[in-house]
This record gives sequence, structure tokens and C-alpha cells, in this order.
Amino acid sequence: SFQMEVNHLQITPLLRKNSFPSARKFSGLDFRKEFKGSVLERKAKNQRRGIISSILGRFTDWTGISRKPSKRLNAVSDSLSCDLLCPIDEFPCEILLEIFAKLDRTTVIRCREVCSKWKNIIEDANVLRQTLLKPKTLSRLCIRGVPKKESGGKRMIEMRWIDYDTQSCKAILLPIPLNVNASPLFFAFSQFQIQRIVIQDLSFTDDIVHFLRMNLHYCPSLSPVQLTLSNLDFGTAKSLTLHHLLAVVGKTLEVLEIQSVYGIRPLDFTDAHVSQLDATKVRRLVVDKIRLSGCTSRSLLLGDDSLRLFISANNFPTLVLDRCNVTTGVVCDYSHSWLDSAQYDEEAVHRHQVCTVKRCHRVNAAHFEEECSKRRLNCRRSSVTRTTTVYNIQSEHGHDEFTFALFPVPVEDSKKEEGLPHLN
Amino acid sequence: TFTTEETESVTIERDLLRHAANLDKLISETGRDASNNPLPIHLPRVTKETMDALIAWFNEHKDDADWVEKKDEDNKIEDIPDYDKQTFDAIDQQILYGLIIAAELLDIKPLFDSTCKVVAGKLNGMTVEQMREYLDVECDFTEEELKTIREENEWCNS
Repeated sequence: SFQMEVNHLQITPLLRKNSFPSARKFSGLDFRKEFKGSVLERKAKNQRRGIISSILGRFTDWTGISRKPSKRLNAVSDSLSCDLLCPIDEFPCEILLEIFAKLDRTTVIRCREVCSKWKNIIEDANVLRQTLLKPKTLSRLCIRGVPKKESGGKRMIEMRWIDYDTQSCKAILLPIPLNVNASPLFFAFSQFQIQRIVIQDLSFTDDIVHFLRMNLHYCPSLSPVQLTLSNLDFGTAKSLTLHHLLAVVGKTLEVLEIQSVYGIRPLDFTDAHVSQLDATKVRRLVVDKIRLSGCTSRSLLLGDDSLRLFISANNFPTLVLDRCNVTTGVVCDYSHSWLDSAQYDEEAVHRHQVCTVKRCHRVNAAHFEEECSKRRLNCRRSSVTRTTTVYNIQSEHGHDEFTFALFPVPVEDSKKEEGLPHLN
Repeated sequence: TFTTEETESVTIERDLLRHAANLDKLISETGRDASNNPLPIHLPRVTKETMDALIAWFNEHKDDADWVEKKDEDNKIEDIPDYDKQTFDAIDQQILYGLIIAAELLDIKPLFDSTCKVVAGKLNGMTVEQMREYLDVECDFTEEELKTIREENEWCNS
């Protein structure tokens, strides 16, 4: 019959054990210690004793047969007997959490300020387990370096989130160097679902990427769709800096833009970086207005492998490639494969894809025309200006068109580059 | 029968306790409903006033349907039975808290839900200072910490 009772008592009270590791020093009254004969106390006791002794213990509990009261229980009830009131300060954390769960969003955020116990409860629930506040979608998170005159002389970074739906935005200023310990934003990030990240107007350093990674770690289901790096100084970046960033966000990106960056070196953006993306998801890859550092390099080591990656994934993002290491042949392959894939689409929609190749020293117009005729592509030069040549390649049935814009390496540059070794 | 902390004994009818899941199970398991077994269940930290309020609540709700756990979206904070709203508004804070704790202890879900909602309803819309006063909580942050927290709060509050 005792065995039966063991099975019956599958009551699940509110979880008590180790629910709030960070608020442990504030353990509210633990009723298990005081409520003799309570279900909770029995459960706790059983976890410490063997089966036989626990069954015996239950028996004596219920029938009220007096046993030697444990010293600990007595001490606790002694200290309680002088305090008949029960201020909320002694509320166990679980009850506080239940109350917080019923508050509206702004109030919960305000509660964080009240005292450290409350702060710990809220952060525990939200940051570690993301059960308290519903996530907030940010259309764009913009991390921008603030010019000195705006920030009053100090070097600052501004993090601004923008929500397209509600047309709202808010910014926070952080001092450089970014220090995760000094300004943790884990709580904020634990509510953010970020769709696009823009980093602009600053020196791209390991610090910033580290700070970003630490905070992004707390985002629920981080899956940004776009990463734009604009107007950055890559001179301060190490060769792995961008790799570190892409490691966290790369797999879900559909748009990757790196534009107007200076001080960049060949190893800073390569085929290896592109392979950190999901080749089937990328819709647009822009590498534009690149200013390589020094005179010792012709191009970024972003080359044919990336194009081949897209071809084999049967996914053809819009490309803008400035100062890259691609060759004419493979670019032509790319357009050919796009035309092939477009052809298999059922709808007779006019499809158009654009590929812009700028200042890539291994691509030139004449060669392109040759390659096109080799592949029997219907290629037509549609405009030639001093700086660009535009080709239109049409598919057989004329529905699909691939536009290839070529900006050759400017003459002054090629003179400079004559002495440089060829990158293969 | 029950004893409260002040060792006062209170008798409660068995069927009033329907909502107190823990007690229910406890009693039926141990067969205490038989009248020849009058050993009391001891409830420390439940004062006489709390006990009274508890009994009053039991009396009021004894015919209620069994408690159904509602989902978050449906569980509006205003959704409190009228009787509860009236009594809890008028009730002394300490008793209210006693009820919350008793409800959690004895696993009386509807009571726990109502009382928490009442407290939450009062907290909604209060400023930080008001919250501290209402619940008698001390602020243990330094100036700097407060500043950082406020900044972060400001930023993530839409």
C-alpha cells in the first residue's frame, strides 16, 4: 500500500530547485523548510533520502507521530515566530516571476530598475530562457561611428534600431573602445529579432565585432537577412575580423554589401568569406568602391570559386564585383548558367539579371565577346562609354536577358600595376 | 481541521477545499476526511486573517468550475471574477500577500491567478519609485548602475 502512495504523489508544484541561479543569494523563503508535512517538503526530502526511509518519513509526517524534530527546522521556525508579517521582499522568486509575467511590456522593463533581485529575476527569465518578453522585430540595426563634432569631442558609437512598420527608431551611444563588461546590452538584445545589420562610418576592428557577437548571442533565433558594411576603415581590421562576424550571421544572409571601404587588403574578403554564406540564399552580393591599401595589391582574393559556388547551387545573385579576382571565362559561365536556369522556369515572365564587374584586372571586354561566341550566346554590345561597356545577352526565346556591365581597370591604375605580380 | 501559525484551530468543510489541489490530494491520500481522524494539518506562516480571507474565498468559489489553465494571450489581466476584484482591492496588503503565498503553497490555481493579477494590475503604470513604495522594496543599485540600466531600458523600450 505504501508503494501505491509513492505513485499517487506525482503532484508537480511550482519548480523550486535551481530556478534562478543568478538570484540564488536572494532565495526567498523556502517553504519546504518550514512546512512540515507539505508535499513540497516531502519531495525535497525524498530527493535526499533512500526509498525506505522516505516512505517511513511520509508515514510519520501524515499521522503526526512526533519524531525528533530536526534541529534545522526548529531553528527556522523559531526565527519566524517573531515575524508574523510577510513583506513582499521575502516573496520567492517564482511568485515574483508570475506577477511579472502578467505585467505589460513597459512595466516589466521598468521593474528592472527597482532592485537587483527583481533585475536578476527578469534577466534570468528573459535573457537565459526568453520566456518573459515577446521579441521585438527590428527592421534594421545600424551601428554607426559618430563624428567628433556630433558627440562633443569624444569618440562614440551609436547603435540605432529602426522599425519600418511603426516608423520608429531609437539610438544609444556607447564610448569607444567598446567594452562588453562596461556596457552590456544583453537584456535589450534578448528581445530583438534583427532583420538587417548596417555597420558604417567607423574603423572596423576586432573589438566591434567581438562586442556585436557577444550581444547577438542573446538574440532569440538570430537570422538577419542583410549585412551592409559601408564607409569603413579596414586598415584596423585583422584578416579574421570579417570571418568572425560572418560566422555568426552568414548563414541566413540574402544580401551582403561591402561598399566604400578603404584600407582593405586582398585577404580581407575572399572566396572563403563567401563560402560562409548560404549559396542557395544569397540574392545580392555587392563589393563596390573598394580602395585597397597601399600599392602592393591589385584585387581582393574573391574569385572564380565563388562564382562556381553559386553556379553549382543553381542560385544566381545579382553581383557587383569591384576589384575582384574573377576571370572572364567564369563570368561568362555564370551568365550562361543563369540563362539556362531561367529557361526552365515555367512562367513566361521576362527575367532580367545584372552583373557588374568593375576594375577586375582579369576581365576584359574583347575576351568577353570571344567567350560568349564560344558558348553560342546571343551577346550584343548595347552601349560603350569611356568608362563602361554594357552587354546584353538574350536567351533564345528572348524572354530572359542578362546584362553584363564592365568597368575596365582605368589606364592610370594599370600603369601602376605593371610592376605588380599577377595573382592567380 | 487546520492550525494556523498562531495555533488557532479552524475547521473547514471538506468540499470547500476543492480548489486547493495539494490539500485535496493530501487529504484523500491520507484518508483524513474520515471523521475519526481529526489530526490537524499545520500551516505555518498563514495568519488568522489570511486564513479567514482564504475561507471566505473558498466559500465564494466552492461552486466554480474546475480551473482551466488559459494561454497567455487569453489570460488578460483584467479577467478577475468580480468578487475577487472587490475584496482584493479593499483588502490589506499583508493579507493579500499572505493569500498569494498560501495559494501557491496549497496550489490553489484560481486564487493564485486572481491575486497575482491584482498585484500586477496595480503595478502596471507605476513609476519605479511608486513600485518601490508600494511593495516596500529597497533600491540596492549604485548611481552608475542605475544610469546604465536606465539607458538600456530606454533603448529597448519602444
